Amino acid sequence: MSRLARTLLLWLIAGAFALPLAWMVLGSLAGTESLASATPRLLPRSPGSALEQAARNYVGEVGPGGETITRGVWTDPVVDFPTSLRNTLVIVMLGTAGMVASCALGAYGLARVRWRGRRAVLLLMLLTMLLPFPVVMGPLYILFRELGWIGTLRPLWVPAWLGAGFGTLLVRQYMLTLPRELDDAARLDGCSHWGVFVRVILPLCAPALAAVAALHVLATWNDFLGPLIFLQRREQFTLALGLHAYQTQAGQVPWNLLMAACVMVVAPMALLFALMPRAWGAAQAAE
Amino acid sequence: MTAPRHGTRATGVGLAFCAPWLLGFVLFIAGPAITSLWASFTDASMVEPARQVGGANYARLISDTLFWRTLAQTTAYALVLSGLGTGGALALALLLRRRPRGAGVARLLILLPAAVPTAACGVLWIWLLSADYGPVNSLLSRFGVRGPGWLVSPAWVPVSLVLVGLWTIGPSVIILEAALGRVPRSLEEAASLDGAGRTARVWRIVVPAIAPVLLFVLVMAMIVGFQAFAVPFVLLGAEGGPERSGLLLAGYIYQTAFARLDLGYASAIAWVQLLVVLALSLVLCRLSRRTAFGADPEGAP
Repeated sequence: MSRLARTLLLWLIAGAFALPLAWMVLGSLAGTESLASATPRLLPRSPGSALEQAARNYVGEVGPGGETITRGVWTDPVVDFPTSLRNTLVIVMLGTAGMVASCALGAYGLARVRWRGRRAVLLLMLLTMLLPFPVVMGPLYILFRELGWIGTLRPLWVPAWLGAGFGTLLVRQYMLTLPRELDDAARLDGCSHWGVFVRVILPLCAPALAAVAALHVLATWNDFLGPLIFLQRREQFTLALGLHAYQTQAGQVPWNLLMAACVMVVAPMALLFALMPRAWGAAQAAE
Repeated sequence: MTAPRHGTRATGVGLAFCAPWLLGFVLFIAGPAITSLWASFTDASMVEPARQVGGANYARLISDTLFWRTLAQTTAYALVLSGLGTGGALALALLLRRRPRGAGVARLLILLPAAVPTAACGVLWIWLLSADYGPVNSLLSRFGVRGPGWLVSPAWVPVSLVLVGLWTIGPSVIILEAALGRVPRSLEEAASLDGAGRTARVWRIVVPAIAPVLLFVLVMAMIVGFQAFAVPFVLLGAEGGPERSGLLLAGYIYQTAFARLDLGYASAIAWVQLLVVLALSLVLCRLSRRTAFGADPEGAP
């Protein structure tokens, strides 16, 4: 293949990958009627009309007295987007803080402390990554029910405080690349293991910790099965679950509103991906 | 590794650092996994205390035609998606390797769909693949092609599931591209001095050099495919769409445990799923070891 042909082929494929996302954005900017036909009109008539329609779809129209004229995603009480967003942010922030902390701890224990059981722990971690979630989801539900956590957000962030095999291995891999002399020097100066961990190793691991954080944010934001099982009431739903409820509710929601909701759910993660391509580099180092 | 010089103090320190993960392992992984293994030999429901039933749940699996169909559909889905996905990712990684114009933007566009949450992915594709007013069929009709009933025809549902799965192979492309970047140039140059053409260099030198990473990507894609839940669930509904043509194992387990509250039977299915995943991974690793060492006898000059 010539260089030109390869470039064109790559661009064609990249375009095919981007097309569904472009359709999603265009759909979110369209009027209800223009999508409800056998030949949907996706391209807006003018930028001005698209903006107007966007305001209607995303926010809705509010009259001078504060009454709702048309419901957009943000103001639709049926989907209650602001509450779902808040729930998602709570789970993401609480969970990510715990995930980063416990993965860093475990990684130090495996990478910088020489002890007898570390091989066994390492092997155990690798094995847990093979365990499908459906194997444990029933007993987990019963456990959380006994704890009185069903119907709260706790099942979705408390377990993150006890870490995960993948994140721990990722940080461990990174710690192994740091020179051992660092520890030895600090130990000679009278530092305990805790001191070495907090003052010497942790600051140097920032890239790996950022990667763990980014991957956990992504996983939690995207999680569907967990919220589906552990959450019950509408006011606890996460964005992913709320979006599904919005789509399945009786009295079909028009596609332009659903696409606007999709854009709002997708945009933060797309931004994270665009800003943090290195998270993938770090993730693959753990392979 | 077990030298006595490590001492008991070091063991205490190591254990302390690993304590959060170990506690989480006992509470949220090992405990529930053992419970589910035990439950698979009982008539446990989500609400009532359980009675031992021996191997009755596993015996029931044998005569459960829906289970066999779901297992077959899941295996086909996982194998086809991981095969096509890994092959496609390799092709894209090879295209990106030469750094053609705009490679950075192309890479980002290919990666971006992987950032789409599964629920949004499902909702988006319901609209895109809608038979009557969906953009995909509307685009096809411009080329004079009458698009199929992607999500309403049992024959097309598996195709649609694989299509949506292929949309998110971006991370595999990135991993393979990075692996290609680590192949030493000297290997290729040596082969080219020996008169190997470009195609031969790629297929006999470069691709075999990244065989371990390729295998990793393939096995991971298969494991993930075997556990697919959210996209089929959102795309086709809890029952798996027309004639349950899109019902996969994870969805069947979810239905059994949380709609029919039959935890014992659901646990039995889940353990079979786990064993099949392990067996398939082992077989793939075995096969690849044989081909990796057997291939390309004249590779080295």
